[in-house]
Amino acid sequence: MINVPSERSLCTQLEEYLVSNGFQTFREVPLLSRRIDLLGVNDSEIVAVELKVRDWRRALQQALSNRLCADRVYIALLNKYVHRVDVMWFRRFGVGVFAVDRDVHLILEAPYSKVIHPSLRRRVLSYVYNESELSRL
Amino acid sequence: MRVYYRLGAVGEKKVFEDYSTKYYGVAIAANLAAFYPDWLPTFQQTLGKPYFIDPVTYAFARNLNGIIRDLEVKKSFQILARAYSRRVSELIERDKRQLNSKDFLTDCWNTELIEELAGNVIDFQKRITQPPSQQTLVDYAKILGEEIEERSKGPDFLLAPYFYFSSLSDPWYQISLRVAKQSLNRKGATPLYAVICTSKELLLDKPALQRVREDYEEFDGYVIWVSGFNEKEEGEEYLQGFVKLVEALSERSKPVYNLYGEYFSAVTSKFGLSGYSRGICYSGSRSVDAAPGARILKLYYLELNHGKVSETVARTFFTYNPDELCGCEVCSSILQELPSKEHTEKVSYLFDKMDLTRIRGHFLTTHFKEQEEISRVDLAEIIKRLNASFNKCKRLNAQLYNIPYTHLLKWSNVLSNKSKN
Repeated sequence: MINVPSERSLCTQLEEYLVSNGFQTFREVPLLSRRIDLLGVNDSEIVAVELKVRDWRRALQQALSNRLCADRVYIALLNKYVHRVDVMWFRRFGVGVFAVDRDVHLILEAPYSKVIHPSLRRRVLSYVYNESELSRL
Repeated sequence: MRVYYRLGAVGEKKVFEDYSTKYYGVAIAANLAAFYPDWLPTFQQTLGKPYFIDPVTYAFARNLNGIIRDLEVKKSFQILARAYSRRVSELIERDKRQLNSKDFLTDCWNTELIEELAGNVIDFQKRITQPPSQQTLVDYAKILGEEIEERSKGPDFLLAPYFYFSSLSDPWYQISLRVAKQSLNRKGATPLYAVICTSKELLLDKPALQRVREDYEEFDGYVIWVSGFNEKEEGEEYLQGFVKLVEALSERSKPVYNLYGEYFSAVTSKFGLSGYSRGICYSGSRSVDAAPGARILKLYYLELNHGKVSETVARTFFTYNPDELCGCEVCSSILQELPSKEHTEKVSYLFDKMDLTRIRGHFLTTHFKEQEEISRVDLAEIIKRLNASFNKCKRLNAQLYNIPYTHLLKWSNVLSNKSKN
């Protein structure tokens, strides 16, 4: 039987990657009626990552909403499925791409979002702040 | 075309009042009417809009879980059951069970139950929106065996008691028909409509549709409720079946309404549908086994696909598609408060200010405009516009924003086929 890694295992690897790059990470962060898979926050920026094993279209769909509250937005896929991605769409919408196998590879860098909704950003930061406070207790 | 919005909760009062020019009338579920006997007549009189009462009798014959909260039948349904029938009340409150077909029919008809239910369901609709003082007067006159004229305007039409039947061989078909016919004796001067509450499968059975029309021909009009029928998700054959049912029932120029309808129902007015009811931006479709009542969701109506989307989807779509921003009077008035011309800021501001009342107001305003447009143009033009909307959705990559739109083409195909026949 082929052992296909789950989104959860992708998440763990991405989390380690973001932490090693100076981010504090949060999973399943609420954004109105949905949740952002993984959020990385440091002193100067918010990074959002949408994780999918192979479905890049669905990941892109969710990433577009994430651009309303995060400075840089990525999707992460299993490395062996990354060749299926049509990069044109990601360039057009300003979404970056990570490929994950044993390591995390940055395939396409994400530009800074120019479509941030201030109220959504505040809500996400407030959630992150509350979570951080709770973890300190 | 007449659209009656269902009064889902007392909290919707302000929306009904603020946007009273954007709809025809109000549909009121009998359990809500029973629960607020003092508030409702005042609300109805202040609003001054036409209305009808949905007797919701079907709910007593479905799994009671739909009307149970905290292990008790909801108070509003307890009150309603008492108003309808002592037997029904005993069954659901004491025996904790729903009505079954044997309660009405074993070796012979249970005429006592049928007469009691039919009479009380009609009387309830006639009197529940009368002011309390008027109700007392009517009661007193009844004791004296006299008829007095009711002062406040009653419902547009009465609905006969009804139950869901899955097919014509389902015993509930005969029961529903029998109880509905019994109520004909009690209608008085107000038109009495029969409710055809059935399954989607019946829409594919042409002889069955014809028999329904014949069996129910004594009624002044009809209300259709195809349980779970979702105009956007059904296949073309079901949509065609729905149009055929409307055509069959309206053949003798009798009014036909859809109890839960959306944009496609509005278009079906071209084939004889007089109107429909629905919630304000919810319940464009409903299953008989869904829990009665309104769901309070903040959904935004998009004219582009004639459907509603979540706030996240709406914010994202408009952020990337500035030209599509809604120009209705509700959205425009919010945007006028913002001096900035920067697009993302506008979209952000619009949805920050879009509370439940305004989001419902936007829906009522936009859907009213759609109804007016449908009334103004012919079928060929509607088909043309549906095709244009489909192509626009495709061009804007609507699926990328999680906006469904394939139903537009489906509707267009169904209407094209009908117009060719």
